[in-house]
Amino acid sequence: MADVNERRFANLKVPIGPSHPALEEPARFLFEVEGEKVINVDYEIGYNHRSIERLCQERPLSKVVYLVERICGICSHTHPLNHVERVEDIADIEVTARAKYIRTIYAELERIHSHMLWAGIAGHEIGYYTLFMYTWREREKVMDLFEMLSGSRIMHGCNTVGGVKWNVAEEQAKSAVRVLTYLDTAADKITKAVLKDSNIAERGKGVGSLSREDAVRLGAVGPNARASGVPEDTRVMCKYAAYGDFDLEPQTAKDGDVVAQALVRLAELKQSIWLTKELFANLPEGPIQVEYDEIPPGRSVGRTEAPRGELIHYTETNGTRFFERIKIRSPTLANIPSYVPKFLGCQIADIPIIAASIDPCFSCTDRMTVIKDGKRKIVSARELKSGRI
Amino acid sequence: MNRSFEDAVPTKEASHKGLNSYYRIRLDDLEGALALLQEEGARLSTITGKDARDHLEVLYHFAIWGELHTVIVDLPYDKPDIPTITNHFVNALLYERELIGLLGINVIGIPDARPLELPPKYTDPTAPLRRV
Repeated sequence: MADVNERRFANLKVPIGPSHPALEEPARFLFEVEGEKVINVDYEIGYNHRSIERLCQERPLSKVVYLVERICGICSHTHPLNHVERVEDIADIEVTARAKYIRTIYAELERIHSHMLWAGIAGHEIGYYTLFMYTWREREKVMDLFEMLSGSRIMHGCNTVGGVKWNVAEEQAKSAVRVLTYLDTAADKITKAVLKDSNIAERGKGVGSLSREDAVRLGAVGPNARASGVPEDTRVMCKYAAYGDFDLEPQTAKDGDVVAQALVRLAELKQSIWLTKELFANLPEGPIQVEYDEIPPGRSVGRTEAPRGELIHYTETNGTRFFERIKIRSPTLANIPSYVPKFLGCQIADIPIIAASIDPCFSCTDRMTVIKDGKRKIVSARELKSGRI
Repeated sequence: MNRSFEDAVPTKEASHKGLNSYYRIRLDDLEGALALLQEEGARLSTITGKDARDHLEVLYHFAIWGELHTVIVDLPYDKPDIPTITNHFVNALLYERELIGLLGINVIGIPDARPLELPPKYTDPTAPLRRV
């Protein structure tokens, strides 16, 4: 195997992306091929910069939670959750049990809809449109649940330093449990449709494999690593929010190929549906917010399990109205190096499904700096609102 | 960690809170710290670069199961040089490329020195995350 950091191409090169029908994410891959076989790959990211880390340092503390929520449309809960947990860690704020449960409910609903979205995308990439339509139809029910709970399908605005903003009424909990019971049956049907289908087995078995050694060596995270047998799940390891109250097993597979990725995500889908029902059933009584004084100078680094894997936020405060530094490492960035062993030796026709198999999300991977005409540009709030950037 | 970091590596400053530990070390001791962490089975989670106004800081975040160990190295403004750690942790490449592009840190011996996020035509000599 060529070294993952080696970039010398001698044969025919096939560029895919940043805009390409087979890759619906703004990343560019350059494949060196011998006939139909991929023998080397290079990648380039950075087509979706929005200056968010810099902007986080230039906004008042209370505004940053809104900004981090907008890093990613799918992970619009786990980013602010990690952010507020970092601030609470710095200021020693102990959040109420009810707030922790509500945060965990949103986090698990996010995982459910993200894994359903992934199953649909995987179906789309191999031309299995029935699966795509079916999973996305069921996913809509989770989006409706979000709308019922927070008033919004995507930007829930749930997290705030010291707790959550939206409480859960008893009727809402009952209605949510009904939907989750339905989704449990739907998840069984999706699992059966994926695992019993001979076409999926042929398109996915042994395609895009990642060995356990490579997953560890390349720092793979989340379902991508667990599909290769690395039992690391931040929910289990760090027990943040309300995860410490439940006994979760990391869902793993062995082969690290497309089928193993599906196995892990579908098992997690079932697990998350069960967990969300448990959370609603055991929702503690009490307030959802606590008051706090000023945020002192300090630093905190911590992880949450986003649907795509380990998400890290490093947050540093300096006692002023502004953050000293906020650094965000999204799971996709950690998973990009594992593309190299996955792509090497594959057929060109398998590139789209391998690319989709790690569930890449470049909206949170590229999040740093706005570049215009080769010059750095700091975007003002007015410009951001007017769309003139 | 099975061994105490402070006992194994000369540490200028150390603090612990919950699952997090922070160690500030000298640049010369980085190699020893990396060898220890590798021995302990740590995974490099990410690298943070920071402009601390009078100097630069590089923070290496290592995960060992639920624990996070952060190794902090200070770099002077006039000589922001740091050796690559890709010889110990191969996944450091992307994070080191981020340091090069966004903080103007010179990573010595890195196998691929292209800035990660910045376009090839980027001409501003000031790195975007520097406080100018």
